[in-house]
Amino acid sequence: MKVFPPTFNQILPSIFVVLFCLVANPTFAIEVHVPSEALSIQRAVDMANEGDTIVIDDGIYLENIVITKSLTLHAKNDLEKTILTAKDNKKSILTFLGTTGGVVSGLHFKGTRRSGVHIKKSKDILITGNKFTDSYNGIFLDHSEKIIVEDNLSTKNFNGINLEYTKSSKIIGNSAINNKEKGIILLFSDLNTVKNNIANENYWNGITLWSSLGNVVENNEAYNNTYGIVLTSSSGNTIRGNKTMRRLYFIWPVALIYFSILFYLIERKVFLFYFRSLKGSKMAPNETR
Amino acid sequence: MIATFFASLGFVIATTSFIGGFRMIRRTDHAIEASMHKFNGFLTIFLYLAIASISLLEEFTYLILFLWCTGFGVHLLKLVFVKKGLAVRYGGYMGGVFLIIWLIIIFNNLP
Repeated sequence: MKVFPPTFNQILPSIFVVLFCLVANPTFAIEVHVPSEALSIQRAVDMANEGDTIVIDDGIYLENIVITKSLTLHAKNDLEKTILTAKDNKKSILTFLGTTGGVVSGLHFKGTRRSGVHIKKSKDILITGNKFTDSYNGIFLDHSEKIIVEDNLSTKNFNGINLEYTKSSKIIGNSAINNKEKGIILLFSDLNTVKNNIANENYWNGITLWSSLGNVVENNEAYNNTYGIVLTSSSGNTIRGNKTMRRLYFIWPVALIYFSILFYLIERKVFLFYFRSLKGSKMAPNETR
Repeated sequence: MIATFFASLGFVIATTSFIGGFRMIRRTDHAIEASMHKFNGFLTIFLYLAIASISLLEEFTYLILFLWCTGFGVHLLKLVFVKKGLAVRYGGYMGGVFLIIWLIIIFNNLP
């Protein structure tokens, strides 16, 4: 069978397919690599078009990034090696402002007096697989909707994950642990789902709902906080399948004192038995009364 | 969690040692009480150093190091009093200080 060269009639369908693709999808999403193609993340954001992806290589990036278009940001390699920290610590490290769409994944946000990621007046954004440390808020959702916050670790912040005036968002499978104030907070936020999160060892509350309506708080774990799950001025929420236990504050040392007395009596019996056995083998110590 | 375990164990041993110390002063079964007191005392120091190491590995500042060293100094001071035969006179005060130190440790490592 003779294949080459193809006739014009044979390649005509292929030309149509290519033309159709170009017309149907006139722009292609591209990847911008930081720092090889753009020296800073903000520069890469400015260079990128809607739907582009910014790939961030290992390193420490000292920036306050503002995003106003739908972009995907992710680390090229390891989360622990891709650290974003605030240049001006009175501003958030990464801010989505008035954006529809976007993804942030695999990055470590560390060190600001504001938020690691601040999502303001935005919707349809996915925050997944990131780490947030040493900031005021790890993640701050502010007047936003349909945001998904999934599988992140927020620790050693003032607050782990903070939602204010945010609705229809999902907070799923995150760890908000060992924060200086609260783990997960919903303030004036309605119709959100808080599910399968771990909110342990925060100084005050594990999960807080304040003036929030119609949220689902389900299958979360809130151990060793001062208070596990706190609802204030909130109604119509579904709270089910959560595991909570308060920190044992004063009870634990008191219980230990009682245990010490018991331990003393047992230890004394053991030592008495030991010394008697030594006496039996003529190696008794010089007991005095 | 391991720091909480060590802190709880340390507090129990320190309190046991405190009880043993008072009974030793009353001189009932002196040799047994003395051995128990000595055993508990050294175990307490070991646990103290273990918790201090965990704490300093987690977060190191010179202030934290100074505070841990101060606590260790109190433990060493007790040993000096014992060696100089001053344990009966000052032992009760030292025991009280130990209990305060261990209360601070336990409240910082509450489960």
